[in-house]
Amino acid sequence: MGRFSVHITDGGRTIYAQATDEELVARVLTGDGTAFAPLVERHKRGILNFIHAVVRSAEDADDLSQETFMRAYAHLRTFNPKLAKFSTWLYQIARNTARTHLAKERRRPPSEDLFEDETLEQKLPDQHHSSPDERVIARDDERLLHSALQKIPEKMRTALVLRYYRHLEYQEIADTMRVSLGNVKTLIHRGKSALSHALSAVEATQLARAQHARPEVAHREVLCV
Amino acid sequence: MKCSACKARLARYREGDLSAAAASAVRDHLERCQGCQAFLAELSALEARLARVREIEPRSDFTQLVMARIAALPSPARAGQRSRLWWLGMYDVVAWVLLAALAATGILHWQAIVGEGGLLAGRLALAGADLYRIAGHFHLGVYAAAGVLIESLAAIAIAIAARRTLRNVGNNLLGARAI
Repeated sequence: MGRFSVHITDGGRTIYAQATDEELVARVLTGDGTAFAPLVERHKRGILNFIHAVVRSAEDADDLSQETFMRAYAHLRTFNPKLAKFSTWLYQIARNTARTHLAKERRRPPSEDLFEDETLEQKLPDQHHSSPDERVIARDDERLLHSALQKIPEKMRTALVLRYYRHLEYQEIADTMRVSLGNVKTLIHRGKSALSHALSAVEATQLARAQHARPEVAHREVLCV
Repeated sequence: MKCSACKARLARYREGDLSAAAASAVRDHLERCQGCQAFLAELSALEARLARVREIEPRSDFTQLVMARIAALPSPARAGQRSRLWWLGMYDVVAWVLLAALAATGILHWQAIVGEGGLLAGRLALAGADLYRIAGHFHLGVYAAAGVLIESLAAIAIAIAARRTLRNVGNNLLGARAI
């Protein structure tokens, strides 16, 4: 650490195009607060999607992601590059932020609405499914999966999300969750079984609801099961 | 191999994380057991389903929002500069508060402490005068000063090293949990 790879000046604004995360952190710690912006830019998508998979709503995920970066900035001096990568440290903070939120959520009555993040989801481009019908089925499928994820224990959920949504290696997951490698493998294995059962339960509930709903809505929801 | 043992190993089997012998045992069991085949198919379907999930996009002004919010926070750089010496002062304050509390509760008698302190100072003065005479006789003043200086530097180095070690231990134990 210490050497900054590239400093390009673009209209008076410095862009740290190829600086590593750790170099940018060192830069912030020397007093250059603007060096934190590329860190946010690099990790915002990963952190947002991680938190979104762990908590219930997209709106909460947005707030919690911002809070994660604020906490990281406020405690940047405690980051030790010898102990972990910046991204691992950031995911640890994101997980703690999400857990704190979930602890508060547990005190509130549970929401019955499975489709509460409709607004944000609709804004997203869907390049995998060409026809409107396919897009509807895929979206319903994701919602069911998301609902089922919320029903399994937080540790299993986090391990699965880090593995299958964020594509982290087992060792990185172990570092992020501060558990052993073997423990991660167990969590992922048990998490899959638990998720499979939760999915069956959620799908059964949806099917029962669809049978009581209006015919056109029922048709749509049966399609996804 | 029992079905429960096979199912427990299936995730690692799919990841190629089993030894050759264990993988072979799972493979043999799968060839014979329809229940475990179905479980494997279920796992594969679930993984495919997880892989199909689309990512959500952060709002377009996400970075600007975060940067605007952290502008109100103290700079971690400035906070670091302040923190280099404040802990020495804090230890001093804590020691005085503790002393005052002990004296106020009668556990310590401050008059006795002052008396003992005065006695000690007198003894030190006498010893110092003796030492001065001896040192002057043997020209040991420079060596004594160098010794005191080295001991002081060593004490400071030990204090800094202990503080860093404690902080690292704290980071290891608590890490980001405290954040």
